[in-house]
Amino acid sequence: MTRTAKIFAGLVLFVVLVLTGIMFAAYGRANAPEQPIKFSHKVHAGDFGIACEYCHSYARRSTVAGVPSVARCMGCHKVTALDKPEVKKLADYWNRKEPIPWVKVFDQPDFVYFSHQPHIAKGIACQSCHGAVEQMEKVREAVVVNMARCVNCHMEKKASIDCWTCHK
Amino acid sequence: MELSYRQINRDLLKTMEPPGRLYYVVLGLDILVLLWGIFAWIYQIRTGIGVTGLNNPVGWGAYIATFVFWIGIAHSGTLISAILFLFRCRWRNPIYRTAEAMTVFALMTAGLYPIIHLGRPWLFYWLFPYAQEGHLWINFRSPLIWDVFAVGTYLIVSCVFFFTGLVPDLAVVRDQADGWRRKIYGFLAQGWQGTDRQWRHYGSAYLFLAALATPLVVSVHSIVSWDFAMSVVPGWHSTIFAPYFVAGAIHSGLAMVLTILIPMRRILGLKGYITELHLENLGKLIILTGLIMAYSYGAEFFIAWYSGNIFERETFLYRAFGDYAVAFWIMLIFNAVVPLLFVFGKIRAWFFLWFLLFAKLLPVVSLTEVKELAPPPVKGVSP
Amino acid sequence: MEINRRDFLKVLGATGASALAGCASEAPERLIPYLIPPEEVIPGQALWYASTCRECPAGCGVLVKVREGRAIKVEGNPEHPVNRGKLCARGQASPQGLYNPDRVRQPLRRDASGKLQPISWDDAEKFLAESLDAVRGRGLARQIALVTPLLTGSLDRLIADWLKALGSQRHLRYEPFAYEPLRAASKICFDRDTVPSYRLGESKLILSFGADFLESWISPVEFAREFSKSRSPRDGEMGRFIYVGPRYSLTAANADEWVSVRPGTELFLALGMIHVIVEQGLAASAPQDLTAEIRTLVRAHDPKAVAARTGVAAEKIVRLARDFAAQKPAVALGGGIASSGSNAQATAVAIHLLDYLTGNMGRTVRFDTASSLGQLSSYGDLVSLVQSMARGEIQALFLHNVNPLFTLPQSVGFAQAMKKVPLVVSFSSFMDETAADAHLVLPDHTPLESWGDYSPREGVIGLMQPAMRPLFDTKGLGDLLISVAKKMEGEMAKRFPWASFYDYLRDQWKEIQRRFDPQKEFKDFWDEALQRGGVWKESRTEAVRLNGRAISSLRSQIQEANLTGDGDKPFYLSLYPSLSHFDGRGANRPWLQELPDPMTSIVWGNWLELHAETAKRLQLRDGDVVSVASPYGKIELPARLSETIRPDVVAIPIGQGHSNFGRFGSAVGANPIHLLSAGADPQSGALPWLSVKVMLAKTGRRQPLVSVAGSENQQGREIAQAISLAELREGEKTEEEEVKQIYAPHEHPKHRWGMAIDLNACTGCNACVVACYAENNLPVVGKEQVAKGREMSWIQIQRYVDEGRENPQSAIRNPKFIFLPMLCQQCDAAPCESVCPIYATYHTPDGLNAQVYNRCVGVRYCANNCPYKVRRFNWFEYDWPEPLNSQLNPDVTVRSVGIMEKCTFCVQRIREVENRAKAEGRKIKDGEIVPACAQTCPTEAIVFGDLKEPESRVAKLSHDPRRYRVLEHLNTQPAVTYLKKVKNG
Repeated sequence: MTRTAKIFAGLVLFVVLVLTGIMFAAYGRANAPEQPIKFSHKVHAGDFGIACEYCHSYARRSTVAGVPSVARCMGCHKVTALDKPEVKKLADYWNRKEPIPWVKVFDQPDFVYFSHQPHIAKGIACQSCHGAVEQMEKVREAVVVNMARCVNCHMEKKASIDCWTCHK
Repeated sequence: MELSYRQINRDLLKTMEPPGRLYYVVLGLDILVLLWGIFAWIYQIRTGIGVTGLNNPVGWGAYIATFVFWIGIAHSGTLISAILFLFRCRWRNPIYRTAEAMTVFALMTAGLYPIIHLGRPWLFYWLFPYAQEGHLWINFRSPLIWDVFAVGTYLIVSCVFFFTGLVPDLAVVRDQADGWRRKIYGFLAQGWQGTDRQWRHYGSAYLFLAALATPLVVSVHSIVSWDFAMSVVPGWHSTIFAPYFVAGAIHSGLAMVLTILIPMRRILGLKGYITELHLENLGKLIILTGLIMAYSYGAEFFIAWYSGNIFERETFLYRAFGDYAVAFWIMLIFNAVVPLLFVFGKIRAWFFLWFLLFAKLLPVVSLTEVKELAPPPVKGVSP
Repeated sequence: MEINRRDFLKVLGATGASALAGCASEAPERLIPYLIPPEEVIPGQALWYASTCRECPAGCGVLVKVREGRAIKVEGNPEHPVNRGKLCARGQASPQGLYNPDRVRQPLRRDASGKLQPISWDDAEKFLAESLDAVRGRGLARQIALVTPLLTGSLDRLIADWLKALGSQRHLRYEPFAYEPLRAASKICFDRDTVPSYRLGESKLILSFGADFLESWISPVEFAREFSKSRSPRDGEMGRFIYVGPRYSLTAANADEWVSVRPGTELFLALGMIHVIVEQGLAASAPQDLTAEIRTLVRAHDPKAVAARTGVAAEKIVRLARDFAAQKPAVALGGGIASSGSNAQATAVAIHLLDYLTGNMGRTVRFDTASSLGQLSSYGDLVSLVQSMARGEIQALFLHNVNPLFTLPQSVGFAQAMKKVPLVVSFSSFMDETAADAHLVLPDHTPLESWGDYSPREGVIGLMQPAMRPLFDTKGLGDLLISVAKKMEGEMAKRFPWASFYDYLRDQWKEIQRRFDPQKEFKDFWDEALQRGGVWKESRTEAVRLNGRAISSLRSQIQEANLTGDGDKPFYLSLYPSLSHFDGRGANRPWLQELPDPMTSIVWGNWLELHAETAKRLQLRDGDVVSVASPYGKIELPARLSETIRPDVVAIPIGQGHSNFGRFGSAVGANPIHLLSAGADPQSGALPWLSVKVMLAKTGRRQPLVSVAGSENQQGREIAQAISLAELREGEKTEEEEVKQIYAPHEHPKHRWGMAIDLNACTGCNACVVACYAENNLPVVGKEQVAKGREMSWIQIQRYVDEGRENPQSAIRNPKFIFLPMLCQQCDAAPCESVCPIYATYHTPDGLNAQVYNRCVGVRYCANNCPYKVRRFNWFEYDWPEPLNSQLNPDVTVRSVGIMEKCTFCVQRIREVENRAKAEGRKIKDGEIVPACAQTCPTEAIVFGDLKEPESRVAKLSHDPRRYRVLEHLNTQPAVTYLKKVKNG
């Protein structure tokens, strides 16, 4: 290989590595963090067909969708699946009067003000941003909701792309 | 004095010999200052721009003044190397390389300041147009973006121009060097052999680049001046700014060239090459630019009165007689008045070496520091 | 298994991300669910609780905004008859009392070495019970004293009952500003031991003898509203306002005329006016039997004689008298703190007489609803207590939310007397001077965490309810008293059977229900009262008769105010309550420290105001430290030169100079109260605030004053404009100027938000400034940074001299100020938008100038280019020391270092209402969106709305004949229209 070709190849390799690094940093967040209780959406939302809003009940009314209160879980698990170790963990939390510290999977920076209510009102399915949660044993960020995704959908659906809609 | 090429080579290569103790001492001091600067910048980034003493409404201050200053310096270098080349000024030969080098380094310095003065400097790359995920581009209406393109263009062109011109000389050094130095200079010299064909290509390339760099001398600092002139700030919003800044740039740039040349010719023993004739010619150029400066100041003051705009008048009066009065008058005298004294040959000869050393320091400093300083503080806060 | 809901509500849980400090990427954010969610809470939506403000005795009703269990904003309750939805700067700053980082967080007891150590409530109560039992055992129950501020209703009654059960009568309700002379005068004249209520709104002429009713006098929010009613031009007429006093206060700055009078001689001015009225037969109502007496009384006080005494020209006195008698109705006000000297009672009687003779008694001055101020103990009562303490006759002293070591003059000797009391218990929430010297500190809840009620006047009872759980290990005073009683021997436990103060409160309200609405079920009545914020009913007008005693009492008291302190050329010392700190209680709130004083724009300090000529004589400049010495004390203060004070008077605002009041309040300024003499006025029991003359001496030191003001002088810039009533009557209409633009104007497809600010209504009270700080997470930068011009206020009240003012005739000038609220003008052709290199600022489709914080890199070109200079840069990363950060509004981004910010027209409120309207499928109503500044303005000077709606208030006002825009010639096309201030004659 000629010297020039070597240099060229080196440069290309370098650029590729850098870009890969950037992509990884930006999009490698397909994280599936460990939760305090191994709650399976597949079992509850998939197999049992429980509606999203049964637990995440504020989505229709508020900015946040909410996470079910321990009481909501106990509503069924007072009597069901009492033998499962994860359910025992749940009962422990309830008896200790301690809320379960879930790890947030779908997080936006603090300067992003997303409100669930108008999106639910427009009939957008939860899965379009959160992915097929009802098939997940462990919740992971199957869809990367970055600004591009929001803006693209807003542009398509002719919703406001004014910065101060989401960044007040 | 007829010099042979061999003589010239020998004399110039002598300047690249291992330096004495003094050089390393000064270098050491410079590195200390650099480290201090790095420490200061890190401190500023971590603590916030507030440590600079800038405040409302004087949002820009020393940083942007320095930025403008260094861009201005760069212009003079290009004037000497590109414009005087196109005018076929023979006397520029010994000095134009220094001037070009000055341009490149000045631009690099200048380019740092827009980053340094940012509130969130780690995001400086947002000022460049690239496909960003939020579909956001830059605001082409903003003079600061024009700066990005202008200074960017100027930097690239100047670097290429400088390097291109340097190739035959690098070849000379390569031929004299050995070991690792020869490898580096060899790489840099790009295989220059001094053939006719190469010289012909060299001539065309250099001419082309000089022609490319020439309009930049006028345009770049005009654009930088529009950072101020395109605002509504009284004292800034004036049409005189583009020629004013360009003239001022060249004025202070010439002074900076002299600042470099005068000690350099003495220390490196180049008095035979950089003669008093060169210094005199530069002095004459300074007279020209000094006259333009004087006109510009006059135009400014006239318009401040003639416009009847109370804000404009007040700004001018404040600058002349308020908190910055001392700096203002120093600027006026040393930029517009003192250089005109160079009309007299006696003063040119006599004070040249000494006076220039001092006199040009001040216009270099005063011109931009005061001129570009933001409007008077609205509050009764002393600067 | 069944879990008690109440138990689980004790677990403070909230759905939503818990905030993380420090960098984002390391630890994951958590989602904390409720254990059992409260039914009414929707995370992400605010809940509003009605309560009552306790920052001063005015007792305005408030609504407290609560997000996820945290109170984040306090606003006025629109239904409350006192403030009708508005709130002053101090009320807006009340969250900083709740979240003050220097609160006492648990009970403390002084140990043997003299340090305060934490103890448990149980131990504290036991100790207290035992101590009280011991005192009772020795038969000294009479020597137990409890001092509170003005309390009414349930807590007051509980305290009274508690003390009585103990065997003591020493219950003092102490406010430093107790208006004793005014009460005494009302008692003497009309047999009513109270402060009358004033109807300023109906008055065609308001004559104030030093009563600063726009700042701190009695009920500033209510009076401001009334005042603006009187002053709004209607049918070519507007009410007049004349201020009489030695100093040009903020209230005086809103007057048509300032009558400068020698301090302590207001009495003579009033008598002179009565002389003219009586001699010229202008009296509207004079009781037959007393006419002759009155005539005799005022015979010696003809205008010439009065002119000599007061320094007011005789012609002016005649004119004042004639005008006052001619305008019907009119009102004369007295009893201002700064002008209360030894003759304050007589002055108040004379002013009552003035009102009576001109027929205003019963119209603009009424006694139908007795003010609760009538229940206050007098200063003299407190002095007696101190004397008892000094004699060793007090065994136990309880102090609740009073700070006598600060608010009493040193010469009263409270500090020394306190040492003689074996048990001093403080219930203060803050470690102030007095609490720091107590044996036991048992911190009460702050008002936002408390149950209770407060009635500022008869017929209005405001309820207080906790807006959130107590932040710290504090205990409500009512609960504490009941709990201690239960731990005591004998009858006490039986007398206080209630489980908590809440139960006691409800019991008391059963009685209130019987009075107000006997037909209803108590449960319904209670729930409605809680929602509404209290109960109120209309009052009946009562006629009053002048008591002859008034004349005779006056006869014997006609004298100038007695001031001690003669030396070589002494000065009258005028002390006045500061707008932000009141009597000192506001000094530990950073918002109030950073709030500029409206007349000097000074922050973080206090000053000695003196006339420029005096200063020249003494060779003093602004910022020179002056030593001010009275016969009773000496303090040092920086000087502030003024043109608007009498040359023989110096003035100091009250409220700063704490030696011990947390990190924000300590060592700021000097306390001028210690210069006063201790003696109470023998008749009214008042502390004469105007009691000394002082000597000034240069110290040679400097302490530059930090002010946010630029130049008061407009210098032809026409920023704050005024129009005369005559011009307005002529209906001079400015033509709608054609908008000149090179570029196509912005399109506003749906809304175009705009604002109209009426300069005639703005009194300069600065309530909007604090409201903005609270709503938009504005940081407090501190004195040093404000000195560099780096204050962060998005809205600023700028004070400009009206360019059309009359020329000064004498050394005491009458510049008329115009207060201009300046905020981002949301320009349609904004100079800032085109110069931002990266679109961090741009124009939204609804007419706002948006600043996107996360896009800003801090180039600062926009701030340079803004001609209004309303953009604020974050020069540093500012912090909110815990728990102040709990007050932050979650709907507004907290800005980091290096970012530009400015007024957003409260875009978070705009978006909230837009979303709500959309969700409900309806249009937005005019007045539905109210930015924080507009919401709190007591005079409704700020109006916000949709300029595209032709019927909206703001659209109509933007075509008002008084309209103009600031710096209109720059063609920025602001969305803010200003209405010129109207100059009355």
